[in-house]
Amino acid sequence: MDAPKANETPAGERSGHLLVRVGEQICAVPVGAVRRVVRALTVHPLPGARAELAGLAEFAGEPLPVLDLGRLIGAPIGPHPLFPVTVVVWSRTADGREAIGLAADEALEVVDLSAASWLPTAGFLVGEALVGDQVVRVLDPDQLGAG
Amino acid sequence: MVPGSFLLFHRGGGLWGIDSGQVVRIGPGRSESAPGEAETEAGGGTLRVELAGGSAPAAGPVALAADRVEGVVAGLAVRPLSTALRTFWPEAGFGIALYSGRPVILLDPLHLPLPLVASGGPDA
Repeated sequence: MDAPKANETPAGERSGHLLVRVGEQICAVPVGAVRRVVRALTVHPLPGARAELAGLAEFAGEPLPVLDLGRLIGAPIGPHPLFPVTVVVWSRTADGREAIGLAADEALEVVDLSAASWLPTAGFLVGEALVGDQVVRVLDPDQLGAG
Repeated sequence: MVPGSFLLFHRGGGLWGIDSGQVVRIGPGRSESAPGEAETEAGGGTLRVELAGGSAPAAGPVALAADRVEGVVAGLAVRPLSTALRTFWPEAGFGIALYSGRPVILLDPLHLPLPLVASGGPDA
């Protein structure tokens, strides 16, 4: 049996997730995948890119693709969102790992989530969970490079 | 093999690089808006960066549209395009680097992204 990946939470086990708000939606990102939360990075657009890719930025001396978290999860957002924070996450790849920026409204808090309580979904959104009375969409950064 | 130097240019809000050995001429291009920009930086005009594509007719268009040329630089630390970048930017690229703290995508002369290709011929 394969061991769970670092960004995965085995069913029944609770693990820390950073709650990130974008528009009216809240995402949960595994704490182990969070590299840094910073003020919004300067993003340079990339003509021809899919709408989810806000552009490229520089972070820690490296080029960083920055994804529009709102578009990524299909959250309704205003016409000119500011996205004052960038959540830099690690995404595991076949060759190792790479950093990805997520443009968002704010990082809220760290909560413990149990995978057993998630309603599983597909792709980089691996589930939906209830935190208080708020539905939280659980994101797996390892799946971001898989489209 | 990594080219020794790259011509860097601005287009559509991004910074791009092409093997400087492939560039045969830089001249005025047709007035056209860059993708994502209402006007280009040069008063609505563009530059046309012509590449040595004559020996590779299958390569298709051999001129790029530029808003402004940054210059020729050598010694860039070129990295491969990341998995996420290749997923969300479905174009071919030679690699990516930083120049003055700004990301620059280094283009593959044989697979130029369509949004960067100059349309038509030069103005002059």
